[in-house]
Parts: sequence; structure tokens; C-alpha cells
Amino acid sequence: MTNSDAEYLKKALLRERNARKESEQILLEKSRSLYESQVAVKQAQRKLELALWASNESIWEWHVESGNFVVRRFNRFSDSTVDFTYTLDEFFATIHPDDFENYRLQWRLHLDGCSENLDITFRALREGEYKWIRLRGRVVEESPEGLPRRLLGTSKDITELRNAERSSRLMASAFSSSRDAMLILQRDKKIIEANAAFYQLIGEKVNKSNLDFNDYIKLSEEHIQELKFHERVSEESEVRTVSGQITPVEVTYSKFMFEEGSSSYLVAVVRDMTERKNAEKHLQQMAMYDSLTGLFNRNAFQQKLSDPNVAPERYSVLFIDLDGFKAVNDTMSHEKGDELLVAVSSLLGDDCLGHSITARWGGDEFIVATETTDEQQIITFCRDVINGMKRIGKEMQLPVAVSASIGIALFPDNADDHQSLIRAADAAMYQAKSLGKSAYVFYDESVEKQAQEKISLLAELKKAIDNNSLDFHLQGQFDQTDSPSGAELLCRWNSPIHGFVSPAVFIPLAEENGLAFELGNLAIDNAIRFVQILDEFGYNLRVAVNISPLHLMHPDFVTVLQEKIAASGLYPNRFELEVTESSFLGDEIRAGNIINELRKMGYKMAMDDFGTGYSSLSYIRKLDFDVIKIDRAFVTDLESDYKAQLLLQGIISICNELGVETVAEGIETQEQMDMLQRMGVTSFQGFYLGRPLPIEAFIDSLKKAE
Amino acid sequence: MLGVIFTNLIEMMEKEVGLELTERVLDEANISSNGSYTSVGYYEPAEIVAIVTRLSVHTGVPIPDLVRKFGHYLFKLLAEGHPHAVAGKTSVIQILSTLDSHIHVEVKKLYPEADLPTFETIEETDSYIKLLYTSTNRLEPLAEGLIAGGAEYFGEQVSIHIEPEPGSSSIIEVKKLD
Repeated sequence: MTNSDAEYLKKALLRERNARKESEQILLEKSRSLYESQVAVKQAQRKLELALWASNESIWEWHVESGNFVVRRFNRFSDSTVDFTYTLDEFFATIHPDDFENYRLQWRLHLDGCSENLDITFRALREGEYKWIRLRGRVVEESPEGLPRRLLGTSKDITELRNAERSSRLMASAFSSSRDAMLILQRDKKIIEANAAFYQLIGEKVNKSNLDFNDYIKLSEEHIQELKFHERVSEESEVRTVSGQITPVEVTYSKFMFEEGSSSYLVAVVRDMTERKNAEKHLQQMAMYDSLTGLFNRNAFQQKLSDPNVAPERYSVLFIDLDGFKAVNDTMSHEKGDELLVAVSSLLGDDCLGHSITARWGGDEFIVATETTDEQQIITFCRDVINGMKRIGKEMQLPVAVSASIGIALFPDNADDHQSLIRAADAAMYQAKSLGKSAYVFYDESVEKQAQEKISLLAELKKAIDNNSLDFHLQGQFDQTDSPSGAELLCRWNSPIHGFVSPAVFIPLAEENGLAFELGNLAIDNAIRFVQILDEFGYNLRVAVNISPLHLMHPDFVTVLQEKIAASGLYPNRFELEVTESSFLGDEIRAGNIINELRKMGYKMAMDDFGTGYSSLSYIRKLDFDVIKIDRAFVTDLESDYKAQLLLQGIISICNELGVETVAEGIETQEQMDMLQRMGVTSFQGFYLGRPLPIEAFIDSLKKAE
Repeated sequence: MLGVIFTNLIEMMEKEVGLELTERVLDEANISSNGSYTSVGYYEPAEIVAIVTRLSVHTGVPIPDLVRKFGHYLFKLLAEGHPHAVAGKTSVIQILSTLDSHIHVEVKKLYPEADLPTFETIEETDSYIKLLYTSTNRLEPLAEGLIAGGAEYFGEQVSIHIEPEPGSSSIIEVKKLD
């Protein structure tokens, strides 16, 4: 090797060494740069993961070859990710059955290249419950043949969003389908949104834009201002429809903010009040008026009288009670009864006396208040009403006589206040009733006294019936040979307060006040007792008991009677049941049936007070009575009235022909007795022959006669 | 320019013209690196021009011929150094058609700052390829040498025709000869 060669070699070596040093330096820098870029990559990846976590997205990946479906989820605080690996079938199994077909179809279409991107929303099981998932992605790797190898994308739980959307849709649907008109308004009442009910209410085409709420409804700005203090405010107002029709409404406003910081809107709910108003009116009507007659009712009447603006300084009140109404209701029908009430209300009229009001007080009672205090004018009116009632009875072809009893009281003469005035008129009305009905009576204090006495009497009577403290006497009946043939049971009442009270007073009182059944049963009990006592003394006499129409028609009468007789062990033929013609005034057929039934049972049936009624003879023909009791009026008139003699003779002859026993009652003289004997009467009864006596005295009298 | 070009050039020079001339050329080229090249570094393209110019002076061989020769020589070295780049390929046309899409992509992975020319395929059959060559350094002779080296590597006979285009491009046509 030459020196120059060695020189060049040295140079080449130096060059190589320098090159090595440089390359080491470069590699060092490259290493550092590589590390830095790796860190940067990692940071970028973490950023991406955080972004996915923040947007609640997961990454999914499907490898066709391995069949693995991997879902990768990210979390906030750790670099570690969570991978869930499924087979495709396992993944499909988590999908809600209702969504599966659509999912599979979309998946297939994408794999077949029919869609560029996958974008499927479905429900899938996540931690035991179905969640709404939106899955997006696409094929990212294909085989050389163009078949998908790898699919990649993101999935997101959108349950909350869906729920919010659903809730929003529901709210929108509720808004649009509400029956109440609903609107969203700007503060200046420009309509932003309104539902169909609103357009229907105003009669405008749906969705017409730029409407101003003020054009359709009267609004008070004061109410809106109250929204500063209240969550919502309501006011009653009116809506004017496009066609000009006015509809009453209730508008409720509330304020709401659509989003933070935006200006507030108003929600208005407009409720059609037509129905409510009508109902209120109807209720008011019902509260004020009697539904059957259309007259004021009791409340309205009292209200008007108690109103100092309405009630005049002087006025009269007429209390009108119908006579015979109950019989019409009971014997015909309630419809007929109602018809009668309507007819009476027409008769009375709304303003029958000038400046007057008429009301139905209740049941068959009417009341009139009038500024008229002129007695003559009132009397004329009362007569017109009473006559009008008779006319109505005829027109309606009622089988029962209907009339009116009217009590009149004047303010302030008869009372200090309207309540007392009405009570006074009521008391006067009772007085009219006691005068035999079909009458009118002006109130005076005695009327009140009588009424009070009546009340006291009634209370005493109830007590007497309850305590069995009424006295029962027997009055003998005798045959043509003067031998006792029977006895009539008569009731006497010696009240500790009122003294001896006539049966003519207390028997109607009992009947009017629903005591007929109790009193009648008491009589039957005593009759049974007396027959048993008579038997003990060897007197096989029949005892006659008066049965009042109300007692006879009582639904339990026959049953109770039978029970009592059966319990006594006596035969029914020891009892004579006396009924009067008035028993047939109600339900004639039913009364006849009861009488026939009793007769078949063995009771002797007697028709009492024969000859005083309208059609006594016809009842003899229709019904089989065992006994006819000739009314005392015939006996009294016998000696002086030739016509009465002839008539009585005729009746007795007919009865004898028919085989019906006749009993003459009220015999007071020997002459009467002689004549009646001659006429062929079967039995005789009266003071002349024997007064009513307590059982002990009666037995004594029998003994004496022997 | 990639260091690998320079290291291979020096290697070729040492081999072909000897250590002495190589050192002299490097001395005379007056280059900042002083010829201490490493394959992982980057160097100014002007240095290669300076080296080749001095080499031409000493050998009397025109510069383009020297560059072409270097290209020819370079292919084999590159192919041996990066066997995966030629694996499965059977002709230089295949290499050219995948140059941009495969080989240069791999080069970029290792040398991200490399200023590589592009070879855009305009027309291609099994035995013919027409490319648009674009390079800031306009080293058509190097490209021509590389293609020739490639043909030799695959044992092929090819004709190479290069037609400069306006700007920094040229059309290169390579045709396989039977």
C-alpha cells in the first residue's frame, strides 16, 4: 500500500465514521420523534374516545371471518375501554322482537351493497331492560372479490331522546286533540299556536295564520298582570265567532318560558261554558220552580216574601189545599193526580190576583201571595177557585169530588213575618177543611187556637191508643121478641185533659192522621175480649164492630184480623163487621172483594148508615151483605115523615125478600119501636132499649132482663 | 434527497473508479457533508450534481450517462436491500405501475420527509406502460437507468423512451421487447 493509498483509506474511514455518527444522531432523533408521535397518537385516540364517551357513543365492529361482533364502550376517567364480544346471533338475540325484522332487513341490504350507510334505530336489551339504540356504520373492508370483510361504526343509547320525543309528541297530541280550545300566545296576544278546538270554537278555518286573540275574545289586561303574582289566572269572558255568535267561555292563562332567557309566552285554555251555563240555569230553574206545574216552589216563594225589595208593605197569603186529591191519586193513578195538579196550577195562574205570585207549596198544597188585601176581591177569587175545581173534576171525569179548602191571612194584620203569616194561612185552611171542605176562611186567632187544640187532642189520642186507655162499650140489639140478639161495640174517650171527647171528633181525627189501623185493631181486640167474657157468662151473642174505610182497605187488615181471631179460638161468625158506603168511594172493586172474602171466612158483614149515601141500593145488589143497618135519620123522621115511612118500608121489604137482616138504630121511643116492628125490621137498637155500657154493666143488664 | 441514493453513489464510485478518484471527486465537489453520507439522512440534491459533475470531469463520461449508469446500478442495490418491494413481481412494468401506490408509500413510511418523484400511469398493458414522471429534481436519466436496471434484474429487454413535457414532468414509455 502506497502512502497516498493509505491517505485515501484514512479519508474514507473518517468519512465512514462521520457518517456513522451522523446516522446515530439521526436515529436518536428519529426515536425521540417516534416516541413523541406515539404519545400524540395516544392523546388523539384518547381525545377521540372521550368525544365518543361524551356523545354517549360506542364503537362496534363486525368481522365477517371471525363472526365476532364487538362493541367497545369508553369511560370518562380511565384509559381502559370495555369490549363486549358477541357472535352475530347473540347480538341479534338482544334485539326487541318487534324491531328485529327491520334490523335484519337493513343489515342485509347494506351487506348486499344496496345502502351506502347503515343507520338503524331499534330496541335492544341492555342491563336487563330494553333501550333504544341508534346504530350507524358501514363496510370498511372488502375482500378482493368485493365481499364485505369488516363493518365498523358507532352505536348510541338514544332512549332518553326517544322518550323526550315521545313525551313531546304526546304533549303535542294532547294539545291538538284537547276538547278545550288551547292556544300559545305572544304577550301582545298574537296567536302562535292554536289547536283545532279553538278554530272550531271561533268557526274559523284551521291553521289560519296571523290571528290576533283580541279579535275573538274580550280580555282584561288586569288579569294578565296578575300572572306576576300567580301561576295562573282565570276569567269568564265571551268568544265572538266569525259569524258573530257569542259563546260564554272561561279563559285560564298561565305564563311559560320556552327556553332560558327567551321572552315569556302565554298559554290560554278556553273552555266553552255554554253547557255549564245552561246547567246552572237549569239548576236555578229547578231550585226555583216546581218541575210539574212550572210554578214557583216553596223555597222560591219564601225567598221572595223574605226579600224586602220584593215583599210589599201589605199583602195577603192564600193557602190552598185540594180536597179529594189523595183519593184521585190512590184510586186512579199518580198520572191522573199530576194532571189534576197541573190543571189547578193553570186555574190559579201565575198572577191570579194582580201583583201576586203563586207557588206549589208541596203535595196538593198551593200558596198565593198578593198585594191585594181587599176582602171582597179575595172572596171572589176563592169562590172562583172552588167553582173552578168542580169544573176541573167534571172535565177530567173524576169519580171523586175534588174541591179546595182555602185559608187566608193578611200581613201585617195577622202576623209579624212571612213565616208566621204562612202558618196563619195554613191554620185558616185547616179551619176551612173542618167546616166540611170546599170553603175559605180568613184567619182569626180562634182559628189558631182551634188548630193548637187539635194538635193537642191528636197527641192525647195517640197516647190513649198506645196506652189502650180508650173505653169500649157495648150497646145491645134486640129481636122482635125483645130478646138480646147481639151488641154493637162503641168507643168512648175520656181524656184526662179534654174530658169526654165525642167519637164524631176523635174518630175522624184518628183517620185523618193515620191512626185508623191502630184504632181499628184496638176495637177488634176489645170485641174479641168482650165475646170471650159474654161466653163466660153464657151469652152467645154476636158483637158488631165498626170498620172504617181506611182500616178496611189497609193492606194488612184481613191478615191481622184473621191472626187475632185464630189466636182467640173464636168463630168468625161471632163478629159482625160494619162498613159504610164510603168504603166504596175509592177502589170499589177491591172493597167488594175484601167484603166477599171476609164473608166467605164466616164473618157477618153489615152495611152501616144505610140510606144516607148516594147509591146504597146498588151496593145491596152488587154485594152480599148479611145485615143492613138503617140509618138513624130514617128512624128519627119516621113518625113525622110519611115519605120516609114508605121508603123505609120499601127497603125493609126488599131486604126481607133478599134474606138480609135489618137493624134499626137510634130508637128512642116506644112509638118508633112499634112502627119498626110492624114494618118487619129484624133487630132493634137505641137508647130506648139500652144505652152503650161497659162490659160489666152490659152483662148486668142482660142478667136483669132475664 | 434520500441518503440511500448518496451512499449507493459513493459505493458505486468506490467500486467503479477506485477509492482514490472517489476521494478526489468528493474533495473537489466542495460539499458541506464532505461525502459522509448515511442512508437514514437527507441531503441536498445539489450535492449529487456537484459530485457527478466532478466525476464527469475526471472520467470524461457525460453527466447524463453517469447518472443513467448510476440508476442502472442503483436498482439492483435497492432490490437487494428491500426484497419485499420486488417480491411477487416479474417485470419492471409491474414495478412501475405500483411505484406510486406501493413502493413509494413504503418509502414514505421510513422517510416521511423524502421528496419523491411521482410516476402516474397513463396507459398500461402487460408489455407496455406510459407514465407521467414528475420530479422537482428532473432526474430523468436516473429514472431511465433505474428502469433499465429493473429490466436487467427481471431479465427483460425493454425500450425506454423519455419525452420532456413543459414544467417539471416528462412522459416515460417503456415497452417490453420480445
